[in-house]
Amino acid sequence: MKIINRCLKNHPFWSGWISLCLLLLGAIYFHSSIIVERFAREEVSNHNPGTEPGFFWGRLEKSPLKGHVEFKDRSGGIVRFSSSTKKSTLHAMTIVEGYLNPDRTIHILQREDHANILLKFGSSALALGFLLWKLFQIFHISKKGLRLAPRKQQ
Amino acid sequence: MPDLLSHAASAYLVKNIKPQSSLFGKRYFGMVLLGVFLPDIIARGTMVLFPEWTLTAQFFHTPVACFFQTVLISTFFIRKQRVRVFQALTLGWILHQTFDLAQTNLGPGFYYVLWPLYDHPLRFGLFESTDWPWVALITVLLAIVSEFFQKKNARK
Repeated sequence: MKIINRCLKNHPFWSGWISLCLLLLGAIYFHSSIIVERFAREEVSNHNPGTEPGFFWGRLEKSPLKGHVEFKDRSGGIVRFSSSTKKSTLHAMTIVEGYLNPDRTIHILQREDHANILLKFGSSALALGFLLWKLFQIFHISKKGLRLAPRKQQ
Repeated sequence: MPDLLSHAASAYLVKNIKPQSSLFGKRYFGMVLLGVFLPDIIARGTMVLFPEWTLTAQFFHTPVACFFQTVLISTFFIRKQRVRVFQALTLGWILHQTFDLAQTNLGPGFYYVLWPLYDHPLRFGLFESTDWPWVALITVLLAIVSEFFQKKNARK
């Protein structure tokens, strides 16, 4: 903590730049060490039909085939399954666990629909608005940098 | 993730446990709130702006990334306030990570809390991610009640 205090107080310019560089390097390392492997495991287009089950996340859409819905993941991989899905769950985020069949259908073991995701975004937007209002009350810009002071005390 | 409303409410709950701390005073509590929102603002913001980097954006939600984001933000403040801003933001994102760990969803999840020391996501699984409306309702109600009692005590 003492080192951080000293760096922040005496070398803000370099602390900022080094943090920014480490953030970018960290993102690159995270991508190569975690995400590439997860892409290979969890994307429909990378998954071989008939192999062991996997977790996929994407969204449900209407299928031209009656009584079926289409599951489209972020890689663009599409699989069909028979379902009487409610309209509210279409287009919302869905996570499925299942294995792919050779005919581009999926055998679902478990499924989790996030039907009220728009409501979640709405409540988060409300909270974000509240935060901006709180910050507006205390933020001041001076020549030496940002300064925090409640408006009433000025 | 629980929604941001629940995260904000959790900050108010913690504030009312130890209201005498200067971090929860009028000057710095806004920064605690910013810290509570920080992992989601950066990670979800990246997901919205660059959808093709959705999974990689989870990096900005890890404690390591939050630490560097906090240092970066703190450097913009005047010398006298930099360390307190750093502490307030850090308290905020630790609270955020703790609350996120409480929920679970189908699949391995995305909370790489111990990365780069441990390469797997972690969670305690106290509630399902689809239960977020109830979690939001309960935390917001608890925050309002605790704020009411704290103000009542302060008046005495």
